[in-house]
Amino acid sequence: MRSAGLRGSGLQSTGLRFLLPYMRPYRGHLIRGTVYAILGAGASAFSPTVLGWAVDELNTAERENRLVRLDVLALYALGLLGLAGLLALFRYLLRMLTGEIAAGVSYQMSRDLFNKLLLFSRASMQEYGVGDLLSRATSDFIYIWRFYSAGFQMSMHALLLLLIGTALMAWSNLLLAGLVLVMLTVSLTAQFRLSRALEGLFTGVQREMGVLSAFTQEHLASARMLAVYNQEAPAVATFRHTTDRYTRRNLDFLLRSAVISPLPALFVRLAQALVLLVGGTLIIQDRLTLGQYTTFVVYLGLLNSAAMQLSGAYERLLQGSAAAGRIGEILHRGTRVSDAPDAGEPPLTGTLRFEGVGVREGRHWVLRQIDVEVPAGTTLGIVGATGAGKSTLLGLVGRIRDPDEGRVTIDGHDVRRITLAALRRAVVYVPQETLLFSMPLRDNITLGLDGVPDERVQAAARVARLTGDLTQLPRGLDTIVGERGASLSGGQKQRTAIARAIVRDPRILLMDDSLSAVDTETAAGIIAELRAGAANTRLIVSQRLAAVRDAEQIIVLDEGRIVERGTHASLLQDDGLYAAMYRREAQQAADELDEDRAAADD
Amino acid sequence: MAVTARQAPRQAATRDEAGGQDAALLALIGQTMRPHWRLLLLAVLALLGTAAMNALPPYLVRLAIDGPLVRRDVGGLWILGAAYAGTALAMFGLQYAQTYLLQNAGQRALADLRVRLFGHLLRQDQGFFGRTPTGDLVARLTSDIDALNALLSTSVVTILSESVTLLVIVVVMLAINWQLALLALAVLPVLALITRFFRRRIRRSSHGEREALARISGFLNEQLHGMTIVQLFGRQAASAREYDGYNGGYRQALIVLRRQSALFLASQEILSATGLALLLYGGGRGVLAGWVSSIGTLVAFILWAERAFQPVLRLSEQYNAVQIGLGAAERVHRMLVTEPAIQDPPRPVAPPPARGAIDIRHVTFGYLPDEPVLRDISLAIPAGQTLAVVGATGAGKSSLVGLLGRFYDPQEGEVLLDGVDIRRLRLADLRRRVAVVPQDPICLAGTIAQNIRLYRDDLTDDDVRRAAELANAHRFIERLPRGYDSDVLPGGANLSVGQRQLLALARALALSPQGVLVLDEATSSIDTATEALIQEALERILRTRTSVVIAHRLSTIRNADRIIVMHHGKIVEDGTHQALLAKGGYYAALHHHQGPVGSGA
Repeated sequence: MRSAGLRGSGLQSTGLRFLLPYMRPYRGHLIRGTVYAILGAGASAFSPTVLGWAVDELNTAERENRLVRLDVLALYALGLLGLAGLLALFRYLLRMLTGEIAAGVSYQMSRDLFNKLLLFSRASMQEYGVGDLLSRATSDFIYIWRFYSAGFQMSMHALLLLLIGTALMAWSNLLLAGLVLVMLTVSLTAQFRLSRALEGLFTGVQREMGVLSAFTQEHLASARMLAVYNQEAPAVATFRHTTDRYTRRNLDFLLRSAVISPLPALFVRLAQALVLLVGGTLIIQDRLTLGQYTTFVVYLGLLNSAAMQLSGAYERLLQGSAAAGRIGEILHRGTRVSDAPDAGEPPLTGTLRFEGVGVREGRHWVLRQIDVEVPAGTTLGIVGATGAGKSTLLGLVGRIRDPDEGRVTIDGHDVRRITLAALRRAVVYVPQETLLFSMPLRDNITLGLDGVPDERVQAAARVARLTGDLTQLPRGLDTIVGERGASLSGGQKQRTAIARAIVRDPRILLMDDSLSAVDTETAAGIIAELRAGAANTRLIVSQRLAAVRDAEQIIVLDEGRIVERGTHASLLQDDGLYAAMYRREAQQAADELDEDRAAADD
Repeated sequence: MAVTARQAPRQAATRDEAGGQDAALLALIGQTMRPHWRLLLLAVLALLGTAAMNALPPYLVRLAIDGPLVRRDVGGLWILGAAYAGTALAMFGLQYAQTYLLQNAGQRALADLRVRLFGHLLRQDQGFFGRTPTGDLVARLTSDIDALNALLSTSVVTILSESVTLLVIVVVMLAINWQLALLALAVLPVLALITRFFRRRIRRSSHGEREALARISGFLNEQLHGMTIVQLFGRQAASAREYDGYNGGYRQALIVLRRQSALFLASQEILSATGLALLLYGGGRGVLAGWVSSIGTLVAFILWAERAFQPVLRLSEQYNAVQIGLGAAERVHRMLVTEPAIQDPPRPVAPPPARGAIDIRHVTFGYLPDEPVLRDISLAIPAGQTLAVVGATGAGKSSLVGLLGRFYDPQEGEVLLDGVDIRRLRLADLRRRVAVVPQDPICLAGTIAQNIRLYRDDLTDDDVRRAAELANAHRFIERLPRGYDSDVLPGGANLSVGQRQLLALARALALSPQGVLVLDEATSSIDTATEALIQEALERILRTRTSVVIAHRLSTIRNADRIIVMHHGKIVEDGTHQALLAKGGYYAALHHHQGPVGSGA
């Protein structure tokens, strides 16, 4: 973990330093809360004293054999009720106040988390994995809520109860109060010492949970493949191992805390035994009344529950702090792709240059020494084998990632000097895999744009050859597509992605084999239309040479380097890889033509 | 928003009028805990001991007040003080024993349940996965099981120990002085009424809170998967706004829940004080009137009343957690009783000798029964034949594949494999004979080799390599930094789609070396050069195997023994490449359009 090196100094080092800044807007709440807690805890702490007075009244009456003043007894009883009313009122207010703080802080933090995730580069996303991030964004917030709501409320109330109660006890008998205080100090010190270990254990539990959740997510999403190969049983067996590891960790944590958390209660009970002994001796020596003794015993009962609340609160504090640490780790992570401080928004016409560009995965170069200029208004075709680096190259333009060497410029501006917002307005990337969101098809097309007139959406749908499909959908453009676009076919999804690109009218259009699932006839139509109108500058990656044949420039990538470049005609003359690819396709075409003729002769 | 509308009906019918459901849920919990009954029994014994130790101290105080304090006997006081300390230590020990036993039982039981649920979900049919977002399923297995965990490990322990404590105290009080006991306990019926009143309200708001969290989780799941798109298309602001809506809804739900439970707790506090005031006034009169034997008895009753109320308060504090736990249990239970639509037949037939002949007879199928995508299809594929399926998007090609792998059952008609209706075969037997390679290739986190062999550890490294070579994946794998041991990120995020397709193909060849092979656009993102090489290898393999190939590229199709063209759920053309060209129908038109050098442009 990121914060491992700072762990030694306990809580401050981990979650709390992420949480405390979120408290700043609630300073007023905290002051009010303290007032409520003082009043509530005071009412609660004072009631044993009233009870003690009543017992003394009874005791003296009985001993002196005189009539007890019933109205006085009634007064004490009413006093108890009144105090309880105060307690109930102020604790209610305190509970609602801490609830507001808790909900507000976790709302704000959750919002910051999501905003941070919106800036996450693809690499960071992959590093954590969706399952892990999801578990941080949901279950960790439950712990943060508990920390602020129950944890805060209980610790405030319990601490003040201890404080006020101890003062009242000291006023009544210094010796007994001293005894109680010593026991309590010993107990709390022991508890805080011992439970430091719990925080680390709990972080471990949450980490195992993240692993478990990622495994679950991945395998449920792959259920069909597992079924195809009869791999359900071994997958379940592996799940069993993962679960067992989590369970062992969790059990370890729970059993350790089972020793630590009842400690305060034990010390309070031992203190009660001492109070019985010492208090009894004092009564025998006539230095304490039975009423005062009763006050002490009842008060110790309150103390008992306060101490238990305190340890419950402490546990929530630890869990909340561990959870906050996990959120903070994300919040404080640098984003690899972000706006440079001097980034601007220059007007862009669309001349694109790759200057000595290299991209590395570990020690392996995925792209090396890429130098290409694509003048505004032209098309660059990119061909090459699977894994040659074509998608990586396209990804550099819209800054899905930055190159490790060299630079990419648009109209002479390094893309890293253009704000991400401006860059991504100018550059539109249509990826290999289409991702649709569960919202209406229209919103999927106008994704990220506001107030796009219907004509423009319709026009984009027409260019993408989507119009015909719309009539088949129950509500046309307003049909909601299922989770991750499950209810559309692969071709329909790809054509939606094309429409999504066209509606934005970009300066630079990047197509990453974006028509692989569209049937040939339709694909040909779309490409023809794109060439006629869409975007100033086009980069087209394709498996079909047909798509790049008319490009002003074509480059052939092999193992991350440009091995050939030119136009369709010049590349054929060079008689290299491209020509070989062409011949292979031409050969197929010729075979088919022969067959056509043969068939026609039949 | 869209997501809300989509999710609301799915989760609306739930716990509100659940009363009778609780029995089923308790049965589920009971069933889960049963294997651990010995531990549980010991835990209950420890629990009884704890309760006794908790009830004893006020009695010791009463003895002290009425005995040594009156007699001024310091020695007797010492004995009682020592006994008091003894109860404290015994209670600490018994409590730990109880937690140790219960947690061991509970955690193991939950691990079992988690594994059982996971296995059950994996057995579900494709229709189920289409209806249920993966995020929901993950929530069942993580946060819901965790809520059950909290229910069993915290709530049940608290409830059991506090109720036993309460019972012991009530019995002791009644035995010592029943009038005083009734006075002390007079408020309990009121307490029960108030609890009932708040129970429904808290149940409802806690349900709302869970729903709000589920919506956050569903939204995030989708957004995180599509983060690159959200960023590239500048939808961050809209996404942030939408998230704000869900997040704000959750905040609101938390406050509503908080208000209910805070009101409930406040009413408890007042009631508890009322009981004490009654006891003080009535008991005080009793001491004077003589029906309360001593002032020691009154003090002991005051202490007991405190101890009797503590459990009641703690019990009611658990109410919320119990509701959450039961809600979770119900969702888990609902999953467990959802039987997959596609199942092993009750009396499966032994699979006939594998030849690979497929016979589709009068099949009509639709994902929704009244919207058929396949209409009365009949198709016989002799063993060893390579059949190519062609047709526009939405013609029903993938549905046909879904029927062959029995991911769906047809509404009408039947699919026969070597003369046996595939619904009469065990699924495992069927799938040993039919391998489907999908268009969307799936990768798991792990190494390249693990992705090819999956969990089949009996496949040697050589087997894996041979399959990769056959699928032409070997070339790109070798260039990875650590070859077959290179890591694949979750979802195959560090591989291109083409590379993933090559891996999926290698996987199919490694795991299903025989039987029917169904390739559903399995090579669409592989470059033509590589594909040509694969074709060559595949041709050798396919020669001996029945295979169904769906593809757009004519180069993939033309070598098939036979081609069918589908249109609007029907087979409109059927024949060899040449025969279909000669016919001059749809296939010929398609062929004409797809000249390899772009005659369509």
